Amino acid sequence: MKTINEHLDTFRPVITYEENLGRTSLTSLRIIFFVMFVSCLVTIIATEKAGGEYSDALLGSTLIFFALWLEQIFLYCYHNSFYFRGFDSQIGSGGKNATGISYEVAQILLANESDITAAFIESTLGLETLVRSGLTPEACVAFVQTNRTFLEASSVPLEPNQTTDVFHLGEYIYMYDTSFKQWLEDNAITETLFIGALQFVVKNYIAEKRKKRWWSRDLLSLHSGLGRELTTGVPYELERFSYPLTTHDIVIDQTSRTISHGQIIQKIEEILARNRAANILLIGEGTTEGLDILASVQARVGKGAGLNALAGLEFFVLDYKQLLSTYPQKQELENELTVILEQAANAGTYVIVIPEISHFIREAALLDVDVPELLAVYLALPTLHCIGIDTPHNYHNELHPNDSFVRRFEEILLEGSTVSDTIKILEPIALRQEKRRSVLFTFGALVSVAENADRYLTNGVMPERAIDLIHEIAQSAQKHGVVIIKREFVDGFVSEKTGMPVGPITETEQDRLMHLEDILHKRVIGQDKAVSAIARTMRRARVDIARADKPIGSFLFLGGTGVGKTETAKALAHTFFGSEAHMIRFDMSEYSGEHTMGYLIGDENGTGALTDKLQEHPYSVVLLDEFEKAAESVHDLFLQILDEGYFTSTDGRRINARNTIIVATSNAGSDLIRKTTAIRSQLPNLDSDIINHIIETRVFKPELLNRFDSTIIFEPLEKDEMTNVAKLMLGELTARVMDQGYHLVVTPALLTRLVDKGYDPKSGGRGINRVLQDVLEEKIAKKIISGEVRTGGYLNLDVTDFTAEELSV
Amino acid sequence: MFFLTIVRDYTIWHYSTALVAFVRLYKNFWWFTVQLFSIPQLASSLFAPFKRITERRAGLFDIEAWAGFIIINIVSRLIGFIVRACIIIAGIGALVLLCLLAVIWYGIWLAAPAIISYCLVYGIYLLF
Repeated sequence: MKTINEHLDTFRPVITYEENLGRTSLTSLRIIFFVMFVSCLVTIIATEKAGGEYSDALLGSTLIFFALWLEQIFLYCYHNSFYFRGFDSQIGSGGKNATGISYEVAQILLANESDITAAFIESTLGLETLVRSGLTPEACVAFVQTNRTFLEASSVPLEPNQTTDVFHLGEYIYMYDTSFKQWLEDNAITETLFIGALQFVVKNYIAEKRKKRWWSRDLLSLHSGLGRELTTGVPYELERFSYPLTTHDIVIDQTSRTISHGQIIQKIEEILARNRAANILLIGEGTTEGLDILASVQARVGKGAGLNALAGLEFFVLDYKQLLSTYPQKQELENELTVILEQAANAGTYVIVIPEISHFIREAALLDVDVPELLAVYLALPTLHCIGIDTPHNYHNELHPNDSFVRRFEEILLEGSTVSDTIKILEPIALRQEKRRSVLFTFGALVSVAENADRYLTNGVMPERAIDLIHEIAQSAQKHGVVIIKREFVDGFVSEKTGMPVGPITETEQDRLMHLEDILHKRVIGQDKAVSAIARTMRRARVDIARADKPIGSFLFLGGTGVGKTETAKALAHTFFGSEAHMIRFDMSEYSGEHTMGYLIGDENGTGALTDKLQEHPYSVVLLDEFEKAAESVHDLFLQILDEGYFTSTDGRRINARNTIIVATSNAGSDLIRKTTAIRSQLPNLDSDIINHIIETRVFKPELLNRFDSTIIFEPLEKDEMTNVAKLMLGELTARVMDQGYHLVVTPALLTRLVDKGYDPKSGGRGINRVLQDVLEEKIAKKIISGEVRTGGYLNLDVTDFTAEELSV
Repeated sequence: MFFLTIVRDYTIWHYSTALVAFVRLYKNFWWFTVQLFSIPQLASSLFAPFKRITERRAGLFDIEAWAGFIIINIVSRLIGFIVRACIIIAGIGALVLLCLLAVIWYGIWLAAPAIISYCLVYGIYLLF
């Protein structure tokens, strides 16, 4: 086996040659010599035909240009044999002599054999990798010039059974050049980000390089057979209203196909290979995933890697919208559809893919065309395959009721794209956006698009959500003159779009999070333990160390009336989502009957309140008042929501609740809380005693209590705390009076008197509120109505301003 | 020195690796031509009805329909055979042409140094 140095010696002459002339210049020379040779030859022939005599100089020039052109052709072949060395191994097509190094690795190593890190950074692929990792070219140049230890070319290990390419080289440098690794870490570039960017760059380079190998089987196989068209016939009508799957937007780079669907691909191949009823319904959230999987099947069939029975099969995606708009009359549409199916069935090698099949059926039904009935005859034929793609929601509501139609299909449930699948799908789309909008996505930005779309966007399905987001981001970047789209830009865009704090924590937010307790205490009096527990949970959620597949936070607030449970929820909505308007409130006593589940998640009469509100306000605090009064089935629903962050509505839609903070309040055990908190010092395990009491009295199941991030006991308010509550309420009242044009001034003596009057541990803050309404607001109203105080005047109120009767209301 | 190295390396490559690589390349073009003319598929369905046009099988005692079924089938299969045979012949012709081109290419390749040298020297001689 050759050593790395021996491999480099083999590449050295050809790389030196290319360095001097360049591949583009070589191509230009080849073309120039050919054109000159042909021009001379044509002149000779023309002169001969005209009966004239051509000069020796012309013949000499012809021979010289021919020789030069031939020499260039040979050099082209010579260069290609090195340029594509080991390429089959890189694209996974096998090939002999797969070991050794790729042309690009040789090019990098020969550029600086004593410092391969510098050579890597200064190479086109290396620099692109680092820029896509989030670094600037200037930072790269600066790093190269620093004093560091060097890795030599001779130290690079050769891969045992494959060609060592730029990916392996980059990985090796990352692993063994400690200063390089440290430099990346100092710039917040993790191993995942660097390797991801490297993979992205190399994959894209290979895809481009692949297009240059016009003599390879994979490119030659793109031409369809002449014989097949002349004998089986071309389904012209089908081709008129459909397009080959190979030309779909998502099918650009075969190497980026997701490999996580291996079993589904195998299942699809097995079904298509059947003699009868070889039709499939792919049920998944969105069409992209289905098309992506079918593209993998088509690629395997094209390369001859699929089952033998599938050889020659071609997948065509039906553009039913175009079909419906071209034939808006019942008779015409029926005739055309029959012709399409007839021709495709006659050809025998077509798979008709119908995305959103239920939409097609529904829209055709508006023209009184029964698509299932028209399809039925052909679905039974062995010569026609049909693959419908639809969502579980549509399948459940529109397809499943038509039993005879659905029976002709084999159903396959798709699991949904994972974030890493989505990143792979986004890569070619990002490249097209880059060309179109003159921007560049860093790999971190792509990761951020996939993660944010998965976590924070709720409209639509994955990966379509991520695809839409990347389009919007590219457009916004172009509009704002941003050339390199980094993670921060994506996070900022998503934050602005959703109102959710996303991405790195800003200075203002840092301050807010660090002092969350103080901020909450501005509105919530006392309840130190509760406020502190909430603040801790919210900080964990913000730095993403909490589970992402659950709601942002979930709390069960236990305590009597007027102790600040609702106020805390409002404060949370204000602090985390910026406004109290981001609070959805449910009085759970309305859902105490077992039949009330439908009111929440929908039933045959319509959608449910929880479904609707979560779709309208996906980023909010969900307040479940008097949670203990809800039916057991409703508790079970929330068991799932708290655990998985979503639920399925009656009509089969998956409703996301992962961007909510769920706060359930309950009076359960409030008597015990009130009694025991009075002797708190004697009861060290007070909280757990109260929770045990709630479990024993079967108010909540233990598993439900365990699902909450925190069960928080709101203790009855002490008198001095009540005074502070009164001050807050008075502040709000003063502001309201001010809005009407009066200045309200209440003396401390009056305030103390009102607190004395309103203080009741059972009713908490509500008692104070009532006193303020009945005594103070009543007095203010009288003074304004009687004209005692004029607009702009002062309303100074003291105990002496009230009669005993007024104070005893 | 560089020029001499590249001439030496090129010459070795020209008469060793390149000759093997062209065999691989030739196999690709052979495979492509076979696929383009769909020769195996056409050969295996040589007598199948043209564009799968056939008449439905008639009832047991309907002689007229039986006659129609047989005639249409025979005509369809005959046309199918003629079209397929033509394409197969064209395909075989293309393969023969490919063989010829390969021989010519190999000839030019092996004699390349002589051809280029001759064209250059004689061309310069004619020019001046």
